[in-house]
Amino acid sequence: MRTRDVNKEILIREKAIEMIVSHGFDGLSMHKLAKAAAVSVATIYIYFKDREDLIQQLYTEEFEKMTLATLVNFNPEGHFDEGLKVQWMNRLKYCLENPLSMTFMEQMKHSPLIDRSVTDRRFIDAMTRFVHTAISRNELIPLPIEIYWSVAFAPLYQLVKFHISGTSMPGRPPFILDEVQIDQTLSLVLKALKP
Amino acid sequence: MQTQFQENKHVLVFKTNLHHRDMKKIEPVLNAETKIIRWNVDLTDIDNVLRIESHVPHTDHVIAILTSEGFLCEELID
Repeated sequence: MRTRDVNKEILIREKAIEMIVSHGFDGLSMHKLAKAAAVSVATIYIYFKDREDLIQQLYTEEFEKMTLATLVNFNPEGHFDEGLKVQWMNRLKYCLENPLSMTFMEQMKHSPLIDRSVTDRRFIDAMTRFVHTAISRNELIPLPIEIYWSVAFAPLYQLVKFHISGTSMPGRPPFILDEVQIDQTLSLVLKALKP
Repeated sequence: MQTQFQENKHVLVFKTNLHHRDMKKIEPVLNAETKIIRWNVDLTDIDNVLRIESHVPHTDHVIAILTSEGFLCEELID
């Protein structure tokens, strides 16, 4: 009788994310995954109930990693300007260190395959407290969450995409994101969100 | 293939030709097996894998059950 092999499990997870990122959900079959991770199909089913369970577990784990990375040195009760800067830097660092994971989470964001009710509450709770505190102290205008997110974070993620893909607008040289550009964009975002 | 995680729990993995329409037929059969803790069929993958968590590694018994119900069932070897 064998015991669970953690290294094997990690390799299966890594390869599965790679496959989903490059070929989409339909590109992930247990056969191809077994081949890529150099394990048998049977081994994969030891760790995962089925394909949906695999995808759900991947999402849950990546979400937790992202949560931990995002909450480093973050004080939800702090001033909005400082808190948003910490959020930007943490998210930027996470995306640059885990480009595959970032793409994977983007693919998952609106997928019906994922049950979000089981995911880590720490991230959502901290961000909710942060926003509500800032609004109550008149450091932030109240907005529908979709609009708030689109103004507060979408500019960052777009710049990260330009940076990771190495291209931006047609005819432009490769885009390289630096701290000056981050600060410039962040100050525009803060201006937009001020009461 | 069978693997033991903890005492009295084995994971058995089989390749089958089970489809959605067959679930009604095998559900009562597998649910009646007292040694089986839980089971599921991955209908989204090409091997239609039957995965069983069981108190005993009764691979041959499972194959016999499925075969007698008219289905293909073979153990996936590690």
